[in-house]
Amino acid sequence: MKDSCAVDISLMVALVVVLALFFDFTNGFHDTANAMATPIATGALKPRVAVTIAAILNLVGAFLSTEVARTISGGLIREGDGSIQITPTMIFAGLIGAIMWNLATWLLGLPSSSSHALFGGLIGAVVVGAGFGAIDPGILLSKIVLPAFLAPFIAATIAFIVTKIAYRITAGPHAHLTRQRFRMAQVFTSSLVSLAHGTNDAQKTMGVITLTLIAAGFQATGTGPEFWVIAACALAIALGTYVGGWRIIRTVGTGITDISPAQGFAAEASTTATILASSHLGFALSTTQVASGSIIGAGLGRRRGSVRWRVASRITMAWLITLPAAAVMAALAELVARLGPIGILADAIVGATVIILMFLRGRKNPVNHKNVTGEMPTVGHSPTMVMTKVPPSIASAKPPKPPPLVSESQNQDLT
Amino acid sequence: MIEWESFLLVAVVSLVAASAVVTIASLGMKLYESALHARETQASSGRWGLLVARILFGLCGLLVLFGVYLIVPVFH
Repeated sequence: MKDSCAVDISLMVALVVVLALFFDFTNGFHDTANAMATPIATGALKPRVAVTIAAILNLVGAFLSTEVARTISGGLIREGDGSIQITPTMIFAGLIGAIMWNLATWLLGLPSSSSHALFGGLIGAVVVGAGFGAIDPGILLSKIVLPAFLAPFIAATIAFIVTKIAYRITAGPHAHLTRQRFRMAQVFTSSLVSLAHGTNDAQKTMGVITLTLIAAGFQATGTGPEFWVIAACALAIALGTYVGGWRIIRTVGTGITDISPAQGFAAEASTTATILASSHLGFALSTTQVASGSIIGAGLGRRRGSVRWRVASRITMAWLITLPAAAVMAALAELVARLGPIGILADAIVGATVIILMFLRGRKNPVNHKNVTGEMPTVGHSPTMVMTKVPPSIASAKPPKPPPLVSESQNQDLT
Repeated sequence: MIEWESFLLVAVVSLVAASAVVTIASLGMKLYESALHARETQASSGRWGLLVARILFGLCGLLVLFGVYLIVPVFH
């Protein structure tokens, strides 16, 4: 802990805990869209009800799964005995990078993986603190880079196929009424995604805090998270989820495609199945990427359905640069932090200022539960009644023409 | 390097599971709607259709419970 000696260690740990909880909060509101964007878009759940359910399930999920990983980065950084020691200062800088990126993508309404932001931040800080040798490139490639390409593709393919199945089975004299009934089913699938999120993501912050406490000597090596850590992380992620990243919900729910209840259900069933399979069969995939991929697949799977490729490609770009962008910001923060107490103070002040500026910028054109499905804030309109309207900012991303971009026979080849 | 086998396994299992859920739910909803319609127009009592639809919905419920089982670590 060479570089943090200058700063009182308990102050440093306190700073890391506060930042980690704030990251957990941003993780919550960033990822509300994964589970709740489609039921909100189809009117299966009212926006407020949806985020309340998601918040409760995240809270419950966080308490259900408290087994913390032995390493912060899951092998990405060569940490531990005899290799790199990740210092609280590096974690501090890493968290600053991750939070900045999460807030920037929130402002732009882009769903990006919070885990990638966290790993990116840690990588950036560790590279500055300990050199490139601290990173395991093989694991970076196999656990982060390749899955980032595969997750949306596999989710989109599955959602495409099951959307076709849903439409084929329900075709017939009462097709429209039958398909509206999928709204009820959406409640269950989106709840499962929320619960899975709570068990997965809150755990990451618990890990960061616990490993920092262990590194600082406040907790015995090999012990699990303290109760206050579990409770604080659960509350932070639940609060974040409840606040709801409405900008991201709008992009995912109504920006990618005009989603119907049957498509919404097909997309969520694909997301749930893929997430559960990936977490139990040893090939981790990002929930955010799977959820967005599923919606693209569901958009293509409906006849005359279409996808706004410009929105989809913006989202893809955000995925690809999440890790390097968070890394660069964390690297800068780590460079400054290495100056000692003044550097850390400077980081904290600059970080807080940027966060406040981003929130203020967000207030200029607010997106909330009232206009999340596409209505402008001044229009008094029940959001649940509007199912397929697209907000002007997203609609300007050139809505595609009615005929499918890829013919059905071509689409079948994708599978 | 990347474990293609586990990736393929995840892909196949996800596809089968998602297809099963969506097929069962869609069949249930179609039967339910037709049964309701048949009852309204008094073409038939729609009793069998409703029964089968409810069994299919029950199956979906079991799959949801299985999902909860998979998510909660205490269960396994």
